[in-house]
Amino acid sequence: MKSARIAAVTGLAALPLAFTAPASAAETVNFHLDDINDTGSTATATLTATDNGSLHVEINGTGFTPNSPHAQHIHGEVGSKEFVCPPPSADTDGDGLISTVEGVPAYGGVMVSLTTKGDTSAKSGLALDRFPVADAEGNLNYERTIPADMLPEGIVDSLQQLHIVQHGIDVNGNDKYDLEALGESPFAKSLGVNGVPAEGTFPATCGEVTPVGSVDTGAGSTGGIEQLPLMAFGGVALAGAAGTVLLRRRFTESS
Amino acid sequence: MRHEPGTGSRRRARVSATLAAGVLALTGAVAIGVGVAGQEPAPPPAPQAAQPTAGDGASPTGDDSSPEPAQSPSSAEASPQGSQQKDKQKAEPSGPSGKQALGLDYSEPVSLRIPAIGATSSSLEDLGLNSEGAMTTPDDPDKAGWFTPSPPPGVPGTSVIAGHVTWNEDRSVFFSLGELRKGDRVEVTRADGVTAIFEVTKIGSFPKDEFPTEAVYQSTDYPALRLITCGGDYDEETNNYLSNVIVWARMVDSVKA
Repeated sequence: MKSARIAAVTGLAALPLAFTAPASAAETVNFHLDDINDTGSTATATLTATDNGSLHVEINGTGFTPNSPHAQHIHGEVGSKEFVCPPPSADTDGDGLISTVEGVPAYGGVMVSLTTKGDTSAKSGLALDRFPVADAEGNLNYERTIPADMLPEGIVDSLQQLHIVQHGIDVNGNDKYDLEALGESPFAKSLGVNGVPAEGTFPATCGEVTPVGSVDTGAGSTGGIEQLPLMAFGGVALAGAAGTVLLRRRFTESS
Repeated sequence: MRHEPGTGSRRRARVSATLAAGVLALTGAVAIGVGVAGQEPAPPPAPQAAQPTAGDGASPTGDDSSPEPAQSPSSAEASPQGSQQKDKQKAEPSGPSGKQALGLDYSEPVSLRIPAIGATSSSLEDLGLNSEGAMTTPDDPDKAGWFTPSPPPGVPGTSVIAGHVTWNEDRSVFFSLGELRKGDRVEVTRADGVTAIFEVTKIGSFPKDEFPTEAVYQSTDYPALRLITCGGDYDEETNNYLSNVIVWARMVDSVKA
């Protein structure tokens, strides 16, 4: 009976479903990036897959450490749903901050480094000279079209499950990255780069996919009158009865 | 009787007219009766929410300084689940801030129950985005669906579950969602056997062209749940409701089966 109903549903009033393409068919995907580590930074990102396999990325944010570069990446894994923005419990050393290393188990490794030019692989994850720089007010804007051959295979079909993370925080509030705040980045050091302030690498925002607009969760309301033909027939029959009674009365009167 | 008896043909006409009237009246009454019995009420309305705020109404930032996890099984207010008290997965302090935060590890949701309105979804569909970037909806009107880009229920963050209110003039899984009130419980059972129990903190109806995207999807640092269905006026021409009914809830407990 259920399958019959579903069949009827798909056949009949399935207007909203007509637009329900497979999950992988999304061409434009929006991300809302919320702050982590109490940075107050937020951003929105729009990723658009184009026909030739390239990926257009636009990110606009506010509240970032001014005049400073902000590393930003697409994190996750093709085909995996199991990544999330880091919960408070990601702070495993309990220092009140989620470090780059502490965040990775939650949002996964770097898939794409959203650099302003050149390489976009994970190898450029800390290429601070090629990441966008926030202006004096802390606005951070980025736009780039990354060609297909610079993207990991399958990423365009997995966009919905991925996360975008932006880095660079200012813990001691002096509007710059410095070694005094959190010392040197052990993460950078592990990659062979010495002297990078940890402030420059700690995550500032993390974003997951946000749907556009409302949700079409209903068609064929139970409001209004159902079974209209039956009711109409009943009405006609009743009218007929009334008419017949009148007719009968006329016969009576005329007799 | 002052009247002369009618002629034979008149009498016949009167009798058959009486009969016809009776039959027609009976048929009409039955037809209308069946029709009326088959009427479904429109879905119950949710309160109009005047000011969509982010988070669970506790604070506009969604940062919750006053979480209210059930402190102990005995302190939990009487609820249909009061008897399920084995193997509680309790809140653990999250870091030196001393904030209490319930939180479960990643495990996908498999079913949903809302005792207050008798709603159940014996399984959950996977929802994503359609080609226009909007959320897809369940294929089966009797099932709710988990928006898979959002974290699973129980994981800190904002988990989103949507379901139909009606379909083809029949009630769907979230038909009575608009009747939920603050304090009602929503139970989501996950693949790891843990049932995450949420408490409704807010419910509202919003015109679709004023959908409170930020207030619905904004991330939280505690396990939050949003339930979405349709409501409000129904547009016969587009076959769509003009509003979304949205429920905000936060996890207050979890039970291992």
